[in-house]
Amino acid sequence: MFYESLSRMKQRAGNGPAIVLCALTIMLAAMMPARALVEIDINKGNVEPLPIAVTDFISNDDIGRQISEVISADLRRSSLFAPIDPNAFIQKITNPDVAPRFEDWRVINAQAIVVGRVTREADGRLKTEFRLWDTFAAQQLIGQQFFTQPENWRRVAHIIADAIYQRLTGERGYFDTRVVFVSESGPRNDRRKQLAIMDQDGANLRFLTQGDDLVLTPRFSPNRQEVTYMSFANGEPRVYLLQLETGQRELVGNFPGMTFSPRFSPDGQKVIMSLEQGGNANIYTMDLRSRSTTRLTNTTAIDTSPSYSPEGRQIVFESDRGGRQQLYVMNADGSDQKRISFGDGSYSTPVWSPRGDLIAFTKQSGGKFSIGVMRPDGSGERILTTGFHNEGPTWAPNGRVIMFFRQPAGAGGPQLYSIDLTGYNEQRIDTPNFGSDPAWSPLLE
Amino acid sequence: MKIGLFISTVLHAVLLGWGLIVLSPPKSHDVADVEALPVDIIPVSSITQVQRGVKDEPEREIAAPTPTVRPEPVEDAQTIGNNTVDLKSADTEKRADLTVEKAIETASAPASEPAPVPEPKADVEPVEAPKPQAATEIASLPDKPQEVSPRPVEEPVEQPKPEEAALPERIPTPKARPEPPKRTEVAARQQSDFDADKIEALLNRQDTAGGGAARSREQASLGSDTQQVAQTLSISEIDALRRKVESCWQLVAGMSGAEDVRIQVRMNLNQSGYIDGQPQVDARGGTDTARRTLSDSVRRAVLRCEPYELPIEKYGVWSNVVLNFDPSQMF
Repeated sequence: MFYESLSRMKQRAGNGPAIVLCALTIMLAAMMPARALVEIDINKGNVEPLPIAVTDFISNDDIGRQISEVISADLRRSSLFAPIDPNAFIQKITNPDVAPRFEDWRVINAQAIVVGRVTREADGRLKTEFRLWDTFAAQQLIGQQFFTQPENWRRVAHIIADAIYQRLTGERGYFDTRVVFVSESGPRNDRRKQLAIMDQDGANLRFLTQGDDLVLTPRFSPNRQEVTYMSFANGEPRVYLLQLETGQRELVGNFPGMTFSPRFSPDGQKVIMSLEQGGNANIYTMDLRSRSTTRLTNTTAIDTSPSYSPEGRQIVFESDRGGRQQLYVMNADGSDQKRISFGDGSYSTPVWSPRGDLIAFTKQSGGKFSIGVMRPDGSGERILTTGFHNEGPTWAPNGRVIMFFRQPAGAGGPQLYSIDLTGYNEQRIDTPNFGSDPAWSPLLE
Repeated sequence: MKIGLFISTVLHAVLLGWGLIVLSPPKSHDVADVEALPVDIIPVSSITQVQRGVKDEPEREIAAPTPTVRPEPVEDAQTIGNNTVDLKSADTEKRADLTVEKAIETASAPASEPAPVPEPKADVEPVEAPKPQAATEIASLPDKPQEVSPRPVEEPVEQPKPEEAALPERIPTPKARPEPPKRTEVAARQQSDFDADKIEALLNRQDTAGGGAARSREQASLGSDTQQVAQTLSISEIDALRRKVESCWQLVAGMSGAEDVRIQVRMNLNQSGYIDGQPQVDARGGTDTARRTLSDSVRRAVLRCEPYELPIEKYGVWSNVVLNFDPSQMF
């Protein structure tokens, strides 16, 4: 018995060297340093504005410099870019078709550089070329050219700024847009309210109505040069449509009661609004082609300020059916109405973001008015600005910036402001008179 | 007594039996499910660096040179060499060649440095970016130019072809290897010049010994820094590198569609801490636009962060660096 086991051990010992060799190999492999490699996870970045150099576009007259200035101002106002002072530039660009000396631009920490040229064609049109270079990767990111009538040079500048913004941030720009708003002039007790339109930077202002009738809540069509608004033209508030290109105005529907707070559906085919009947207000849609109306809510309360989600499947609106004004969401056919706002105070003027991820609103609480955002399910409420009177948010087409109007306490009148979704970068938009009820246009086409 | 013993035994047995059956085994000691606490062991290799060789020997800058091997004697030369004196051996010629070659190497070494690269502006022609071709028309209505929306059908101009876009790569590079400096020739000539040893070689008909590299005159170090520096970067070095890259990485807060994007950058660093060639950027997840934008921002970040200042003695460790960018926490 003993000998048997001993001989078995001996047999095993025959495999011994192989086993030992295996073990040694494994040990050695474990001890050998792996191929030298450092692997690091980076999950934080720097959200400072991106330093960018916008050089004066080469031109025979002043227009090249003016275009550069508009581009620079657009980028700076977005708060995502920090255009570098041209006095710091080392290289003077003389030929925009030649790659810049990148090292000269890296020295002043420009992460991107914009160069361009403006020339006049034989037929009098303006030819604008530009290139966007990445100074660190030393490569061209965009190169485009545009032809236009000389008076449209500002639009070309905005389009270029949009292209730069989109290429460097990954989001669509919003510079080539316009804002329609109510311009207010005259004494406080006798205000003259005119519908006005301007570029998003405040330039090219013009008036759309004479100011004889009170106008309120203008809204842009998502796909046409068309505005819907409320006016007291015939003594009673009614919803109108205004063609911006022709100046033609028409009444939306002919209802017995007053109609207010109109807004377009995302496809531009319908207008959604409130219709007052016997002290109550309900939400209706009207098809602009067939002129047929559909009733969406049926309450004894006041339902108003409807706004479609960008894909058109849901509608957010305000209602005082619970005692105070609160926000509600329903399906586009009026079904499945549910309350989404539960904070202190009352909520009004909801607007669905063009991105679809947020709803902007006015909140009244503790004697103050705030502009805030929340998710469509009511979660994640965030207040962007609070004051004596802030109201009427409207989204930039890329869903990053909100414009609203602010009425100071005491004398004075309302002014237009814009604020970034992050709650930073609040800026006043200069208008010749007081301004209220802004509505941002979609990107022009 | 016997009865007492018996009763005692029985009682004890009963008690033990009862205990065994009735008393349940004690509850096992509950150990709370504690999550393992990650502990970083900071290498203190630089402090506790062990000396190699004799412990009490003073440290030398230069490690012990590899001992040279005495070469085998070479066969007698049968032909007359280039020398004015017949040396009967190719030994000296060989030695001269070797020296010349070495001199070329040392002389040409700086040529690989960026300094002598000609200015890119020297040849302007190849740098010319392609002219855009497609035109974009922005028309406005003649009557009311302000009212009418001019439609700048923004037709993107032809993008430059990749090879043309890669402008800096087209920098003309010198074709020919730079000539070695004159002093090398002088040195070589000096080597082949006549010297007294050769007369001795003529007179002394002994076989010459073979050539070979001269022995190092460096005294072998018995105590020096061990070359086995800890083969990893310390926590603080890694942290410094991470923070540096973070500060260089500029991106837009709240960017839509970027939460799911993950980017990996692989880069080879040279000893000065600069990236060799281009960093390799791979992006996954998210939308196309977000991937492209973030890839660009990451590429800019790593290039902007150059040079990476890391301990040179650990170059073997950081010659290859992989950075995993995860922007999800930024949005």
